Amino acid sequence: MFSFLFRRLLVLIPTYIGITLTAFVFIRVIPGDPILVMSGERSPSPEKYAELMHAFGFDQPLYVQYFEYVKDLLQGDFGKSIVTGRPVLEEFFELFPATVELAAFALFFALLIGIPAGIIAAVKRGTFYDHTLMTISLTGFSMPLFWWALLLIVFFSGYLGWTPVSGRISALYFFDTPTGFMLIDSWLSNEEGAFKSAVMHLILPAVALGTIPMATFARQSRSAMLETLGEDFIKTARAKGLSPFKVTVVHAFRNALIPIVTVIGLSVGVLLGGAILTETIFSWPGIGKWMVDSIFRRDYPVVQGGLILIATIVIMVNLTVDVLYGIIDPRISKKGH
Amino acid sequence: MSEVKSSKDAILSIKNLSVSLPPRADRPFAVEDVSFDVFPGEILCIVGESGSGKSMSSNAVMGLLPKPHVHVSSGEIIFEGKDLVSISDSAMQEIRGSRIGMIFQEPMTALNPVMKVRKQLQEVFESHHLKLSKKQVKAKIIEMLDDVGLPDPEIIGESYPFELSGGQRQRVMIAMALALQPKILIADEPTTALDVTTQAQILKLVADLQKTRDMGVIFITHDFGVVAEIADRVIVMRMGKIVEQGTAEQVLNRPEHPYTRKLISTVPNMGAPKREPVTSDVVVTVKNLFKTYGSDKKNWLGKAGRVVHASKDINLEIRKGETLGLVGESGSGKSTVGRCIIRLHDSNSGVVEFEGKDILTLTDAEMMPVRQHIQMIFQDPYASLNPRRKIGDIITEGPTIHGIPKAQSWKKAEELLDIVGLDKFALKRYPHEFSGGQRQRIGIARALAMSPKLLIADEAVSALDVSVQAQVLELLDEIKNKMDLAMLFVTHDLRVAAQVCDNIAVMKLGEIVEYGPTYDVFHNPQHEYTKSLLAAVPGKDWEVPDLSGQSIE
Amino acid sequence: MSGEAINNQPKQSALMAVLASFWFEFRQNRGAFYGLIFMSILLICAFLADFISPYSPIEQYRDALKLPPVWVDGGTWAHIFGTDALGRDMLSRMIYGSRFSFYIGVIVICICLTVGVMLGLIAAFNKGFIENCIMRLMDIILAFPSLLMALALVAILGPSLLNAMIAIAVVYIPHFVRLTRAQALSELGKDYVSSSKTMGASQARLMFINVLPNCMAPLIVQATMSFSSAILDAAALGFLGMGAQAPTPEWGTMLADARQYIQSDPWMMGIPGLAILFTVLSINLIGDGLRDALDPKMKTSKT
Repeated sequence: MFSFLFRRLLVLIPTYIGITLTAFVFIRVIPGDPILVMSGERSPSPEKYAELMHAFGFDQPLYVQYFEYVKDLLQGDFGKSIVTGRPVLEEFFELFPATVELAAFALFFALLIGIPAGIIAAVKRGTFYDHTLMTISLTGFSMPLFWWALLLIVFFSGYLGWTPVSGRISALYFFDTPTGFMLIDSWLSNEEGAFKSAVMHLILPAVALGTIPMATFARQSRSAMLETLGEDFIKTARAKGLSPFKVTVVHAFRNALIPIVTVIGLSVGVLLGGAILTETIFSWPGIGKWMVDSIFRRDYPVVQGGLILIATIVIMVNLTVDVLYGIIDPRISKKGH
Repeated sequence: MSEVKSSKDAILSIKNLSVSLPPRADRPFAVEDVSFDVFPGEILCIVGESGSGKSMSSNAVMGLLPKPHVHVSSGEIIFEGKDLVSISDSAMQEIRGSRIGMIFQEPMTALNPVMKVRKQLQEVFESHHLKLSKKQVKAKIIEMLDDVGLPDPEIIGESYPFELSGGQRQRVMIAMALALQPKILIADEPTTALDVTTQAQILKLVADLQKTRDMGVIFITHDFGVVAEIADRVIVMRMGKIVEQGTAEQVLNRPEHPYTRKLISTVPNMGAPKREPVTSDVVVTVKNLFKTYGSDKKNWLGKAGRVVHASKDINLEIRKGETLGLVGESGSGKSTVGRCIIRLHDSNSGVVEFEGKDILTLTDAEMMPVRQHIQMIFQDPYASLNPRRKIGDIITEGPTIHGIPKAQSWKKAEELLDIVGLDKFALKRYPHEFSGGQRQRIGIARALAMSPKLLIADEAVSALDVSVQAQVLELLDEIKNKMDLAMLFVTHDLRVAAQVCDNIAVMKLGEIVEYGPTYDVFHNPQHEYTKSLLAAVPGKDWEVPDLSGQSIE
Repeated sequence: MSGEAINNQPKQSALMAVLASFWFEFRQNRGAFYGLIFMSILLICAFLADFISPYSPIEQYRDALKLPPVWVDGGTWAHIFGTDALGRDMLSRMIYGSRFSFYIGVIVICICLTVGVMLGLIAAFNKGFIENCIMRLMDIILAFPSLLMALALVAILGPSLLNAMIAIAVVYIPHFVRLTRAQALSELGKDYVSSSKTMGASQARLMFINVLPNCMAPLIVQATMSFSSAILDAAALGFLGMGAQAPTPEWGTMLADARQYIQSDPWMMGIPGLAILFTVLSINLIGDGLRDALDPKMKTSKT
């Protein structure tokens, strides 16, 4: 298991160099002078221009620039935002909990409904349940996320008036946010109704964001289950006299988990991508909205740093999935010996 | 076994059983109007070729038919006074695994890959609501694993299936099936996927357990050698119907139905005939051939890689018109040798002299003219033909590569199809329109299209039913004689080797342990390993009866 | 009979037989059939947009701003789907918008298939350094969430529909490379390839005549699914203002324009949204049908 992990980590080194290189090249291939582009309408004074040139190291040869850049990264220096002047890493950690909160609940919602739906469809294959569940999940899979989010707002916020339209919590409440997770902070604040408000703000964006992963999980669990249900060892399990429930859950599902975990791992990338749209629509102050705003404001240091940080998250998740494989499938973790 | 038994004593009685297939299948019934009894203390063999319905009838007994497409349409299965066709699912579930046990063909896939062996055995006890403590169950599991002859039952119990060998897994399967002392064991081709020595051990184990426990065993197989080895009674099935049943002695030696006679007459006899030594020119000589997989170089962590010797110091020669058999069990490296000669694999060192020239040192361009003269026939008739190309394109691919005009090679392909016994219209069809035996004929035609001097047949008949196998062997022999080819015949099947080979090389773990004329190797084996291989051939003591002159289908 | 004559005459019948069995499998799936019908109608709209749309998609009718569709109170038959905030006819914009959906899908798939299949085959045939380089490059692209990567690329290239398509194609290519490579590797292990090798077949022959045709089935399914994702992602970029630019009648851009009227005039966003949903759903239904018809593994697990 250890050597397996170690080998995976080794493969990551070139990938990671590639990621920093991508982000590094990104800011330098923009057509035109990056300083002028970033400055926008306010054209900088010659002194300011030279200062910026130097600050970004554009006056040095490319390989020196890259070397300096990586050196800074290794020291945790991701540069400073042009707009706010604050370090990129600091802004990231401030906004990151909001995205985690949103994505985690979306994922929870998707798993809770998607996987059982897929299992039921596989076990009742060819029946009315199967067709209905699969039609619903294919529709969810085909849903334009931004439109779906707007529909939810029109119906639940506009027509029914159940949920608020945007933000993480009602403006009525003021309290410290030590963890950055609004549900926990509002719970700890002891303010009447704060927790409820946080939950109500979370529901709609989480449902919107979780819909596509949910549909993906349902479809994937169904096909993974169908595959394992056709395996020889299922016949063995039945020949042993196990109940249909045990055959399905203990034998089939346990083996179907491997492809399902793959899809769950991949869905984290989908969730982060979807968070860009969801956070924009619901004005949710997370890293998705932060990235979009920065791209529009041409705040390139933020875009650059953000790309690396988000890629890091995706890579960490992939690594976790690999470890999970080892736990689920002993053939992978024990092969090394 | 000759005393007359009545249905009254039977533990299992199948009466007029029919199993229907879904509407689009090639025939309406998988099993049609089948009746037979199983008595305690006997091994009943059901034999038949693929598609004969032999497995379906046993799946029906276990209630394991792939419902709802395939189901019992009429008949009764009487066990312990109850009809298994009509009892409830939960009652059937109670019987499965406790009073009727079953083992399957593929030990590699029949065990849950992510569950420890002990846990899988434990489930048998848990699912049948036995009042046993954890300790008792644990003791029972150890006892069961011990009974089936597994060393270190404690360690085996804590292993995952992929850590065990094929034979060990099949033993685990048997332990699982027999855990609750069932009255009947159904064994569905349990040794087909195993090597011959492992097969012999498993057959002995089944026979021993059957005796000590006085069980009835239904043993399904396609191999008459296995039947001869263990059967008390035999049922021969064909297209879902029983064509003949009787005691093993009757069916094997005095078959009555023409179909049974045909099947038995195609079983290759173990007695290798004495042949004249071949003295023509040498076509290919292999000297000191080495091939390893992996590398023993230390990687940058200082850890040495693992090296597997697929072939180690191999020396052979094949003459014009000679068939050299390369026999051995799986993993012996016999296929690797064939693939090194034809340069599908790169060898580490050694010399392969083809008509006096070392071909291992040739560049790809220099190798081109030689390629025409060395050809190969592959094992799997399904994977060895490109499914997206027509037969004509497949056969003429080689000549086309070597610059022969299409019209000319197409004409030759027609002739070749005629030689291998297929209609020339086959050229316009796709591989999926042909049966396994026909595909293998196409593979032979493809090899012949290249005007070969050396033909390497890599397990060329192993995937075929026995009657088809006999026809393809006959064809190969005919072609070899007509074209005066040298042939390297790679096989695991000693019966086949005895029939077709002039000389035999026996391989074990990458090395040739014995090499000589077939007659000598079979009748006077020198090496211990050869002796154990020969001893393991199922039904070796059965003299296949000479049925010539009797009506054969 | 000459060789050529034999060669030509049966080609048709064999091909017809393959197509017939494919059509039979495909028809089994009712969803796929409906999807195909919807897409056919849309294709006709896209082709004949100049003839069937009642108005120009960009002409502004100042006297008929924000007109509701005909089935809502206040709607008129003159503008069946109503008009948008600038008085442009919604029906005409929808009809012309269908062109962009196909345009996006076809371009993205063409780029992905050519680049992805080539890289995948090269990786499968050249184990070692080249394979590692290609696969690591794909890992790098996959490490960024696709929409974010596309946004960043568009930010570099400048917002336009063409740049959006290029960005989306780049983001999808790794999936095609991985799929082609995996499929080619499994085909390379089969003995029909060994047989060609023993004949002395060149690498190009092995790649394109033997291996590639056998990799096509999953690639076609993947291409279909990517076609629909491309439409979704292009619409998302349009929605964020990074895709097609006004006054292009692209559905995602239309949705973005309608966003400020979601409370007062919900149909303005309802119609393009539904169009995107139905288009994507239809393509996915076709994709599922293709998978069932082309993938023998799925076939056996079904019966």
